[in-house]
Amino acid sequence: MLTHETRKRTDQTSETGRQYQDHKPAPPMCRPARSQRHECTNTEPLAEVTMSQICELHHRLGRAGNLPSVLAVAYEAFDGILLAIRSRENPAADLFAAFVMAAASAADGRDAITRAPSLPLSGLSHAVITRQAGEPEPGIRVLAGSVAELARLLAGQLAQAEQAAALAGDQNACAQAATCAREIHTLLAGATDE
Amino acid sequence: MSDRAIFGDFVNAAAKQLDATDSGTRRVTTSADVHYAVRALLRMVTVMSRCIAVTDTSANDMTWRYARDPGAWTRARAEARQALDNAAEFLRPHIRGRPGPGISVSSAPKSAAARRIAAAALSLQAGHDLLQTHYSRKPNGLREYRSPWAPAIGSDQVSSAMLTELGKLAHRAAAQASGVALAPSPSASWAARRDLNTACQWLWVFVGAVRSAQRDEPVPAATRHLLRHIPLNTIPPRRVPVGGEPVPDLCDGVISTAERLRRAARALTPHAAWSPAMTITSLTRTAGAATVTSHNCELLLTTLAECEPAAQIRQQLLECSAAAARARESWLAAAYALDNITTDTRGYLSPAAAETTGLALWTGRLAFANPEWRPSAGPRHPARPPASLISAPEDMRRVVDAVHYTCDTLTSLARASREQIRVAARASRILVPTRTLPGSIDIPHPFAPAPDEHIASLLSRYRDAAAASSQATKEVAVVAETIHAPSQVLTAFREAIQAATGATQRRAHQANPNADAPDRDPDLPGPLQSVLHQLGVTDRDLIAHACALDRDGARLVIDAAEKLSPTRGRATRQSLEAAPVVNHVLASFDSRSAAFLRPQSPHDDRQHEAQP
Repeated sequence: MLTHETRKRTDQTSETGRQYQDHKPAPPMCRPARSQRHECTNTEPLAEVTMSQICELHHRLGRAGNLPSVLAVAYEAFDGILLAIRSRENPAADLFAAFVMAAASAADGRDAITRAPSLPLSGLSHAVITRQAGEPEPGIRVLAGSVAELARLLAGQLAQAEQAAALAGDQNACAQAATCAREIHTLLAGATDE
Repeated sequence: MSDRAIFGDFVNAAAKQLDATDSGTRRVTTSADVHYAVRALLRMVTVMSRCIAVTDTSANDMTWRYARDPGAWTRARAEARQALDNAAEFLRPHIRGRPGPGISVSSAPKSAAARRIAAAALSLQAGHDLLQTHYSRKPNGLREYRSPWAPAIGSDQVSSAMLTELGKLAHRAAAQASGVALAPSPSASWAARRDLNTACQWLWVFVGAVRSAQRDEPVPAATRHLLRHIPLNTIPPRRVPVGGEPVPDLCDGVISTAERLRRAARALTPHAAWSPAMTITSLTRTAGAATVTSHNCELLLTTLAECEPAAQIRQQLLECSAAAARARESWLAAAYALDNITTDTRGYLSPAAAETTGLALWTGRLAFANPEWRPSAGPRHPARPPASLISAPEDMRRVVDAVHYTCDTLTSLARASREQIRVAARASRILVPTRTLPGSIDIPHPFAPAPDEHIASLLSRYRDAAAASSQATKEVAVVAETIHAPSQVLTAFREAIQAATGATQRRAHQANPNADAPDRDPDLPGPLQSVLHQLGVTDRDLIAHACALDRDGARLVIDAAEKLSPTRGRATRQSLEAAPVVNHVLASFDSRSAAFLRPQSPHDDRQHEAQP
């Protein structure tokens, strides 16, 4: 069902030309270490792999300047985190509880962003999670670590946006979304700990 | 749970008082002894009547009045009330005045029997007060439920169990009091002793009625167990695990958190149309935490199966584990469905969501080996080893207890959440972003009420979660019964509630046997149902109950109207105060209701209208 939903979203966004066209190489901080690639404990076939998209979001978030662009990228980041997590919620694997609770926070954070008056609804797009040709599936811990890192950056950007926002609605939305991002980071930050 | 008072504590205390015997030789009865025995027995009789009343409902009362062939317990209930009324009538004339010449009420020495009966009455009164904490009275006098136990207390099963318990106490009290009445006494009033003894005889009539019913339809032990385990209606204190608790403490923490969650869930639906706590934040957190909790239950049941030597129980536990896994999948599907909707308010976390998160934490501490487990604890947390989970023989029952309470609470939570969403959707509080709607729908707002298909899909996910959680609860109940875990009381509790709901619906059906007819006219809401609608009550059980009471009330009015004089009937039907009831009577389409409206002759009405 999830795969179907994701594909549906992919199709929809392809039609509207919203799909990311330029898949840039992941920044070094997002690239999983070589040793970590073999730590995936989830042996079931995974429908989606999200590493490059997460790193792309990470990159775009870092470059977002004004409030509307921060909000727009934050929306996509929460959406991307949600999709990434939803495709990997496997009770047989590690981090099941953390993923389920983080997904709730991601959905809540995305919802908080949609209440911001300065969010440019017209340019809003769903994150598209598709595996790139030849891209290896990340281990679940690597994925969690990347999501945690993205959430940390997201929390920081939203906290700054809250300070800069003039409208109370924007401030509230940024504050609530930042809280959600911090929760995601807290839940998944220990994923790579031994 | 274990530190909360239960009804059985007070019944046991009363029985213990009444079972005590005099150590010395029997002495002569004085007038003071008789006086105090009369007062104590009257108190006992009064409290017994109150205890019957608290487990009885007006619907039960109506059943007795209109039943052509009342059941054994319906008859016993009526006879018991009559017997207690008669006993009180014999005792009441003798409680006035002084115990004897020159003896004040406070200073007179009391006989041992009188003291015992008085103490038993006091214990039973405390038990009655405990039951009353599950109800409250509205300003208009209607009784309303204050806890999930309330419908069970008013069920036929618990009412029968109450009569059984009271019958035992009545027998003991009568034995004690008759000893006082029949002992040699040169000074006590003959009339007082005679009436005291007659009151005791009426108590034995009460006991006889109960025993007769018990012979015809024995009250199951589980139902008596349920009555005795009705707790004080108080919210257990919120507990937070500190880490390193032993298994019994963790089980207590799970059960008390489950109880808190059950109460919080009960408040979801009535306030869903307006409450700011009905947020997407609460819904997503609740669904997520319920998924984790189901997962933890699955792990616990698997671990229990590993340490169970009996093959049959092991197999049952594995089936429970599989059922818990299905519940987890259903909850996860509900969480997915929430990804596509939002609510008109956000940010506020409901008490139910907070308690569900707490339950996930408590069950996780029990299920995993890490004493500091939490969802954010990172990967590689093995399940608790069987030897650590079951280190004492009692631990198996404790853990099954905890899992049983958890699964039962998740069932209630899923049902309550579904109702909450249904009510909120009706109030246009469930929204979707307009960009997710088809392009043909042009709405100049970022959000719009969710289309019906979204709501239907969401409701079906919660229905699945409720069904899967209910199935898991039933599977765990089988194990609980096999190993005699205290949580067996939950099964009796559910059966009592189902029977109470079924009885209400049955009464409604009996009152209107054509209720299922396809082309029937819509029912006019009765006065009680109208009041509930005005108050915004959406609880189906309460509304069904109100319908049944309205129908019974209509039949009562029709019966009474047949015996009224035409003048009085006319005055009643023309009264505005009586209009809601009269309208409902006429709308009931009972063939006899016409008699209520029809004047003896048209002239009668015209003559009456001419009068001021």
